[in-house]
Amino acid sequence: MIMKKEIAEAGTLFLINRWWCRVGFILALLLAGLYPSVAQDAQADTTATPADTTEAPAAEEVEEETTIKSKMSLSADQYPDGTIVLNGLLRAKIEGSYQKVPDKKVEFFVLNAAGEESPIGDTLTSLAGVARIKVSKATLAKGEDGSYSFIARYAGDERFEESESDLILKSAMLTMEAKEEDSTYTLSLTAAAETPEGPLPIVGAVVSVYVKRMFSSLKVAEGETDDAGMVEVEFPAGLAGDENGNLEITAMIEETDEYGNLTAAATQKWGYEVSAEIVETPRALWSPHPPAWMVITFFILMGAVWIHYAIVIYNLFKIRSHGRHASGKA
Amino acid sequence: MKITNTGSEILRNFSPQMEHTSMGEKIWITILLLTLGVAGYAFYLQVAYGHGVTGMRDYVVWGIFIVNFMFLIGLSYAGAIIAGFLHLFKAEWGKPLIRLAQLMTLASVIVGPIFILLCVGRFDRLYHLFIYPRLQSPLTWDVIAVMTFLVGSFLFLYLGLIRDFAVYRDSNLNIPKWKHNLYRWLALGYNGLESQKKLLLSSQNLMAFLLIPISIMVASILSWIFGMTLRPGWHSTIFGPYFVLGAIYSGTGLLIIIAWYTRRMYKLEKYITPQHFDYLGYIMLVLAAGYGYFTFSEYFTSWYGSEKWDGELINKLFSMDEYGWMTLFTNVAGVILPIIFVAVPKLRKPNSLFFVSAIMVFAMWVKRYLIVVPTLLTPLIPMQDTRQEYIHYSITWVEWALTFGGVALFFLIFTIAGKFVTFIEVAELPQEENVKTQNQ
Repeated sequence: MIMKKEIAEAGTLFLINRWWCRVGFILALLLAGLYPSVAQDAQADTTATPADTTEAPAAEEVEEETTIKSKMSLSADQYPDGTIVLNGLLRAKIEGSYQKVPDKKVEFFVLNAAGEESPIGDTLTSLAGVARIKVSKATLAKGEDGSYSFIARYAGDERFEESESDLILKSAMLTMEAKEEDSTYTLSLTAAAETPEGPLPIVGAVVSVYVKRMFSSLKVAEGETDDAGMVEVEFPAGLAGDENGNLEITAMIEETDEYGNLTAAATQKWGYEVSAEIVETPRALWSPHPPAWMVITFFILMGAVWIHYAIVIYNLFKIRSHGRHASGKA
Repeated sequence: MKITNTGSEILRNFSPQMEHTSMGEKIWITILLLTLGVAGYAFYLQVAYGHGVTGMRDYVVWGIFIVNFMFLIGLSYAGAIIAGFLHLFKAEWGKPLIRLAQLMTLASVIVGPIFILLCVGRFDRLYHLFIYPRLQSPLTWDVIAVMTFLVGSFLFLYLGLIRDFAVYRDSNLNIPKWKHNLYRWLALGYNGLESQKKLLLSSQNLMAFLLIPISIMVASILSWIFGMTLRPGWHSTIFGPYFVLGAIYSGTGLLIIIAWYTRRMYKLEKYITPQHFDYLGYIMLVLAAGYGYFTFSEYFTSWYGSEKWDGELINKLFSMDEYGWMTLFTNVAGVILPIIFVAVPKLRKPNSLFFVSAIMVFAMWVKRYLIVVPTLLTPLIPMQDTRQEYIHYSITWVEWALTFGGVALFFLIFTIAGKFVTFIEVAELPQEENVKTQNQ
């Protein structure tokens, strides 16, 4: 993320990369001894580079600018356990594009039927610019139509303008049932909206199934709900699990206008076991242990050279010894 | 300690600078120290604020620091090989050049590795290189090889200086007592005894014999840092000999420059004659032809193969909008001009050879730049949706300051060496007809 201060530093780098500035800088350094202040100015962030700075404003210009415009985007994930996770993404418009803003306080509110705000809580944005808070549906006020109205608000500070985003969410639920028949794994998924009249099937929604991998989730199956809000998808066999063969499976209906993200998760022993035990690697170029021939060759070569160095150094001592004998010192 | 008339005459030529420091030298040393001071400040910025103050980014992770390292280390190998051959072949004409070549080796091998350290982003982890070395890595080979070479080149230089230290010790040089004691200590009691001569000669022969293959191996290892990676322009079987040849070639050029400067500075026209320049010129011509052939072979093979990434790199190197002018300069100034200047008798004069060598040495530095940077800008899998500044390299003042600091340190080592030793051996020179004894 690029802050205003960093833009100022980028501007400084821009100046540093001009030849007349370099000459002036060196002269100033030699004549005036302005080490501390120059050192401060020369600080550079890797996100702001010399070439980049040709478009960047000078430091003084940035100082005169007003606060930077920010933008809040609110989304939500609904879980079968009756909880909702609210995600407030805070970005700021820097150099013409929106950048994620971390470490800023975001407050969350829910509106009641009268349109009055009730605070839910607040949290700081992560490095990805997301403030996340988990709430139970049972504790939330509903609107007249039974839906939830949320607001995520950033109050702003001396650098960034305030911003907020609202979200109207209908309560819904995605449930997942795992089946295993004749070594075939199947997931039965049911999506239903929660209405005062009871569950209402969500028809025609695309459900994606993911498996948690080391860095992110891998999509392994997809299906569309029928008139009953149900879909069955076959789960692939032969995936690597943990040391017990467990797989973390997540099914999602993503980014719907009415319900947000509907998520269901389960852990199934459907993968093969992958041991975390470190096995000894063979001697090879790619392993931590070099091939034996390489070690032997290395020590023979280095030994041969350094033994000769030792012989030369021994000769130097002998030269000195002979000199001492000749001059009668020894 | 016996010394020839020639030796004592050379000692007289060098004695003013060994006895006193003139105003000119003081100014020169001050300039060098100031340059080093600016480089020191640039180094502080780099350590304090990271490599962001350099032009190195995601693509070009090796900038001119590695270029300087390759260039200087190459010069040191060249000096060792030239000095080793001149010693082993007992080439009488080459004796005035041996020490210059040895000093060039030592100065280069001290300054060169500093630049590889400047490429290290985390100085606090530098010792990991020594306590967790990975023997399969060419970088580990290079660290070990350079250290081995540094020790060897220092020993070789010292062996050649022992006789001279004995001469300085027994001479009437007007030097302070500490300096006199230093010469006495460094001379190891050498008095020209037959047993001492024999030991010294056998040690010198051994070191000369060792340093030639070591230099070739170490230059090859340097090339393998590049050659062992599967990058266009680097992964080449001829990179080892290409680097060895390039190192000796640029080193010969620098030796001509140093010999020319020393000849003028210390009025050594009688000892460093036009014949020396002719011989060095002939060596340079052969090496230029060989280097030109290797360059042509390297480019032609890559171009003819039309392999995607190699072709992309060749296009960059020959496009006048990118590196075309630099490629043209390195081949004209670095290969063709030296051949013409040596081949045409009227141009084959010390001054003109100095001139063309200076251009050639600079062209060889640019050539190293062309080896490193364009390849780094030609990744096999380009980054997606990245900023333009991440995929371009522009040298910042910090890098220039550190580069000039390295040059200043190189000259400073030479200047300081000149305060302690003669640049030509005084104890054993070709003209031995008039031997006299100098006693303290």
